[in-house]
Amino acid sequence: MEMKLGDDDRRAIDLLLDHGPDHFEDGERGHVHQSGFAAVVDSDFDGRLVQVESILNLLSAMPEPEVPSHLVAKTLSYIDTASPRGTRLAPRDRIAVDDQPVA
Amino acid sequence: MNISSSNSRHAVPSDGKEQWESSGDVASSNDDASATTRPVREGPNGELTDEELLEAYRHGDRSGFNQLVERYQRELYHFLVRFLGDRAAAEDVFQETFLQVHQSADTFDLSRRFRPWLFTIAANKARDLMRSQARRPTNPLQASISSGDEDSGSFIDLMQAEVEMPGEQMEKEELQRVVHATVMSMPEHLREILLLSYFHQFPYKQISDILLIPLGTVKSRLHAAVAHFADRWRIIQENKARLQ
Repeated sequence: MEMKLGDDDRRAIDLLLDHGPDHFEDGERGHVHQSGFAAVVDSDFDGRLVQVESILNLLSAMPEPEVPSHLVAKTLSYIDTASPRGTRLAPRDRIAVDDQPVA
Repeated sequence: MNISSSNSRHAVPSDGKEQWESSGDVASSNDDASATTRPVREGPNGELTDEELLEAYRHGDRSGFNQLVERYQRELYHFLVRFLGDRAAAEDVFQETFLQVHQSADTFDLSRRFRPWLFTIAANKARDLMRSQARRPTNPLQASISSGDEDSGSFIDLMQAEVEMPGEQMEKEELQRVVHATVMSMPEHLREILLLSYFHQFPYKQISDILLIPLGTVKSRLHAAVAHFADRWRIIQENKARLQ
């Protein structure tokens, strides 16, 4: 059986997770920030919001993998070997880069 | 250091936050980038922005590229490990991602933002790897839970779902293990969108651009991801209680 959420649950998730165009987006987080939505919720909705936030905040327990100390050096070395300087795509040779998002 | 220049069209706020995404009248071509007006984005501590570093690299400053790799090593590596569930694979994709950045640096439209582009490349390469190696973990419940892209299914009320929160008796390591297992048991596309939204705080619009899916699909997929996570958590807690 498939599952769907009700309107209130969806609204709570959107309030907690859709950060909008001007949110601070540099870096990771370990918990949901509350300041952005506190002013727009009504009291009836509060309990649900807290519950959804609690569920989401379980994710913050996900382990943070340690970054290998050699990662940067290894990456730069790999690039030098695989595609030395001077082999970048020149603007005039530009091809469609599907990976580039529109925003 | 204030990077704002005379041809900048927006004031750089003191907190370094971006004021606008892009402008339709900014030339999309990079051939004449020097002749166009483009945004200046200053980092929170006054350091060069991602886009400025990439531009410097395009003009031959190798350190600009090195700084980008260093700047994103932690965040991108974390995303890849959590998405792929494999450190070695994450390292490989990390390298391939920056190789792509290097190769496509001159094609990048500097009026756009670098970070979503980086994650687009990384997510695509990670998905390619998973498909080629059939790394997706099997999940006995996967077929029973909405992918988030359909408009059918039965309702789950998160308030009534009896999602038990971890008590003090649950050790930190145990909690980490269970949450990790729960996330890794999710279908790839639900795990991916949950990571991008929760840990990396991309707005829905940028997730739509990164994953090349409509905004409505971002929402429905994310709702399904949370429902899936909550349901899996509930089942794990119930099984645990039954065994005690």
